[in-house]
Amino acid sequence: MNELDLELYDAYLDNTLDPAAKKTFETRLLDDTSFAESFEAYKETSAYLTEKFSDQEDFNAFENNLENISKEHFTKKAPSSYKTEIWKYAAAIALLITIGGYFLMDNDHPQYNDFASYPSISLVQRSSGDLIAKKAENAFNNKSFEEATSYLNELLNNDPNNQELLLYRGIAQIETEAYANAYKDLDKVAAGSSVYNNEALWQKALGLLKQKNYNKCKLVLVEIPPMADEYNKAQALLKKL
Amino acid sequence: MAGSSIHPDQKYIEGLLMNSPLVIKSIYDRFVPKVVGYINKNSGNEDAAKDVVQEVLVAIYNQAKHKGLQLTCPFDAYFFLLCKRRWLNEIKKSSLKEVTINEEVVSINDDTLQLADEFDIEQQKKLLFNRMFQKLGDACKDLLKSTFEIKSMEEVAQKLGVSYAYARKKKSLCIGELTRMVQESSEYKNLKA
Repeated sequence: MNELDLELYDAYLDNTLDPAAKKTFETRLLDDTSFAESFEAYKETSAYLTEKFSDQEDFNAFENNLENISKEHFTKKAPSSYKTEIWKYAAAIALLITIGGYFLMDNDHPQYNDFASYPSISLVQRSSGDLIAKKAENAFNNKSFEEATSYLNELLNNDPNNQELLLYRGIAQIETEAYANAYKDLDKVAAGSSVYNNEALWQKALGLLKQKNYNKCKLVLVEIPPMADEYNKAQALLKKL
Repeated sequence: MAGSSIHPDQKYIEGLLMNSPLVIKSIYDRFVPKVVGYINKNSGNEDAAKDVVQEVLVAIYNQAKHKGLQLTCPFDAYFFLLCKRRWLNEIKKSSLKEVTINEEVVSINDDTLQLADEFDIEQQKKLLFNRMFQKLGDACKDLLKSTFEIKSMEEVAQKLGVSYAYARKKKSLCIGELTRMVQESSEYKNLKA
């Protein structure tokens, strides 16, 4: 690799070549195999350096999030001893025998609070460190859902099709009982093909459960496909309904 | 990979890239227990599994972000295979014995194997680049670190107290030097073979 070529490679990757020089460069890539191979090698090194040193803020945010979820997962799953398990089952059976009759007679329905769960959200991941995103995140995680909704409104004004933000605003609005708006957001997410579409269905079903609209709730639950992460809990709720 | 279409489970890769707690949590709930079971059965424990899972997820995130990873097989099989290989390497390092290689936990097809092989090669290259980077002179190391952290070459030049033209030239020379060291290493030639 000669020095001039190296400078050319770098200028091309940094997009600082003028259009004519860029065209000459690209033609040479096609005509000169050795030049093209050296460029590929240079590009690979440059990609490695980008990975190593760029966007560290995003990467650190990801690592922190991962660490927290991992900790939560492994703490929750800490195994209890066999004996404790036996006692737990015995206690549960005794409790069921005691209160079972009451529930049978009362024909009680499942409650929203028994099923409602969502993780802490993390919106501040981009290097810009958006202040509104931070405020939305804090408000949501502190369960100040009205406040969270208004910050999410601001964020969605700039990014109206952001499925993740729509989902969170939907959840926040169910919590504040602004059901019509919540369902508008959740329907939009459920109709899309993002990773959040089944979660949106699940959250809508929970909203309907909270409204005690059991029939509509069932209709939404059956839309959740077996492949979805939410399938098992949806089936469990369906059975109780 | 030519000929293979992107699997719907690409959504997990996109969720990792978006740093979505919902997606990460879903990966832990759906796929991690199988990895924990495997490592527990093969001379490991839950703490070891926790580390393996985190390392693999970080590596997947980096490959998705910087290499445009596109999943052509189910996430389950891919993730499990990467964790399994990571754990087997760990065992080899510490020479633990009595390892059961249980291939039946998930179905592994050619796409999964190919993706996992590509993943391994990328990981090995990254280690090689790291080692060679350490062998560069301090001036090159500092300049490259500043260049890729700051991005604006004007700012880099100002920070290092050199002219813009010199900073640009030196940057390309340093990258060229690192490229040469990597390309000439026998390890790189083996990886390419």
